[in-house]
Amino acid sequence: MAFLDHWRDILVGLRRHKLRTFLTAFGVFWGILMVVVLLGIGKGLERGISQIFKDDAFNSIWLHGAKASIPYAGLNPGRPITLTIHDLEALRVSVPGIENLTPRKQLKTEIPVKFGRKTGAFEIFGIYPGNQVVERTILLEGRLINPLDIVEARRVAVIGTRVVEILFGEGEDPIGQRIDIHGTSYLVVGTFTDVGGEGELRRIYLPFSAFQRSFDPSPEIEWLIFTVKDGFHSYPYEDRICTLLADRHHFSPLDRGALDIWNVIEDYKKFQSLFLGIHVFVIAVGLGTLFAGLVGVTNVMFIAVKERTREIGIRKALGATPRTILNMILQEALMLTLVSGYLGLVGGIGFIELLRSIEIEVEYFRDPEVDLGVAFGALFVLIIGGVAAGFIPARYAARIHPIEALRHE
Amino acid sequence: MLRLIDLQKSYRLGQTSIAILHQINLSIESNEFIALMGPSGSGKSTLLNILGILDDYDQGEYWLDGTLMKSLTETRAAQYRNRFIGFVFQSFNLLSHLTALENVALPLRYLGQSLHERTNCSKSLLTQMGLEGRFHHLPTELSGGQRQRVAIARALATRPRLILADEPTGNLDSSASREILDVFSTLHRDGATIVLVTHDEEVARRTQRTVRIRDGRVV
Repeated sequence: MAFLDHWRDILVGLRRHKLRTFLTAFGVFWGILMVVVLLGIGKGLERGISQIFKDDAFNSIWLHGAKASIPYAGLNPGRPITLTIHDLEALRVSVPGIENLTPRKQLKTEIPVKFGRKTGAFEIFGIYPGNQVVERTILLEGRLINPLDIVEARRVAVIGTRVVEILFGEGEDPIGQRIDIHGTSYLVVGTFTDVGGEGELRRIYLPFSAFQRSFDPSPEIEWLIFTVKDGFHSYPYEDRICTLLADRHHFSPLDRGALDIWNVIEDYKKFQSLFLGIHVFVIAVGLGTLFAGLVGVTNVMFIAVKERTREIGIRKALGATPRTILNMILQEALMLTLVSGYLGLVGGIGFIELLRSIEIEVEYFRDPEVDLGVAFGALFVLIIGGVAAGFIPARYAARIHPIEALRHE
Repeated sequence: MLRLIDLQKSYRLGQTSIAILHQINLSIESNEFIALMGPSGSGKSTLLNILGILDDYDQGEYWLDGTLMKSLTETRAAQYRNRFIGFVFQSFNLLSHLTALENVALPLRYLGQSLHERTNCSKSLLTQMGLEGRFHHLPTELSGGQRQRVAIARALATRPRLILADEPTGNLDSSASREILDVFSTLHRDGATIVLVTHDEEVARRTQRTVRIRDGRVV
């Protein structure tokens, strides 16, 4: 009860011009709604793109031999460049900050793999253990390929979940079974999954050395992949590797077409700066809209104070101190901003939750969310904004001279 | 109770300053009922504003109940107005969105009383003014005489030392005027100190003493 007439004072001012109050409130409502919805969607975008980066290590660099594109040392352009396992050793020795270095050899076509009476055609890869790091292979059962497998050229295999489904029956444990790959028997030691999609689940990984013995003894490799240690993310790997391999394969160090280099770090950095850009843009747009709303509040409070000049004069004559008047107007502005802003916040969160619940399936968008920090941040901005919007008119009201105000019609 | 000693007030208008009040000496005893008369432009309103602590003055002294009212901050002036002065205006000056009861209770709120205290106090004042059935009426639902009685109840709320009434019957018909003047007479009989500004000799005759102002001087 004690608050009641105090709040009535505040409400009276706002109720006197319902349409005006509503339109002003709508400005603030919309501002907050925009901030919340845009940030929520931004989050969804970020998560969608992050998902793509989850497939492979974000700090990996992938090399693949291509074709020489400019003449060099009497050699014609168009000559294919093929990486070898010796290049891998050269890189290991002379390029700093490298980890999980792995070659990758792959059979050109999917070949039949048999288990008992079942057969399937799968992609067969010869790798080093580092491959499982750059691919972000997720072990489900058993173990992954290890260094000893390489040294001893063990005939062991780690197989994807699609391979398991096709070759093995319901409830049948693939670990410890022998599968027949193109006439060679391999022991299944592990099963894996990968977020990279269906294609990667149809893979069978073999130790590089065993692969060479069984299928292709040449030193040629399709891919040479590694990850970069922390602290080396800015090292100019592309230049360094080009120079090194140009010397080994006799192409021009300036020939950027000779090697396909996919630098995930650079892509990741680009996306990070894109996110930052989106974030800054969203916050700028949102705050701009909100600011326009708050200017509306200031305007309306100014008009209200002008209209109530006589009332303020009467209150002062009856003993209201400047501070009392200041508080009255400030609270009115704050109430207007908080109520409309809160509705905007709830509306924005509601909209984002709705988006979430219908689970839109788009590649670059998933799981939008308004995090708690955004919600509290918005409330904080509202309180500050409300006080700021009310302050100038409130101070004006507090300074009104009672004699002039009483004369005011 | 109230003493003005050599009080001077002038307004600055560009380079020149125009004196509104010259050397006002006035003393009002407790429980006096005084009429303040004078033509418009005589400085009467300025004097009333100074008495009501709404305006400051340049020289001299204004003592109210043993307290010097001079160069007060806005806040201090508001607090003194709240405790020492009860205003009754010609145009009532009730807040139109508040009920009779809430209007009377307003100065008590600025005094810091609880809702319960101020409601009780306001009800008894309104009853005293013969408005017991009108607590929850808005000013627009009351007659002129009733509005002025609400305003008088409001002026009495904080038990001020001094009641300042500026043409309190100026907007009322003759029967309502008589009614309001009766109220002031009753208040005076019960011990109130009242300064009433009027143009009307009839009204002035109902007070104890008439102070006349002309060209900024007491005559």
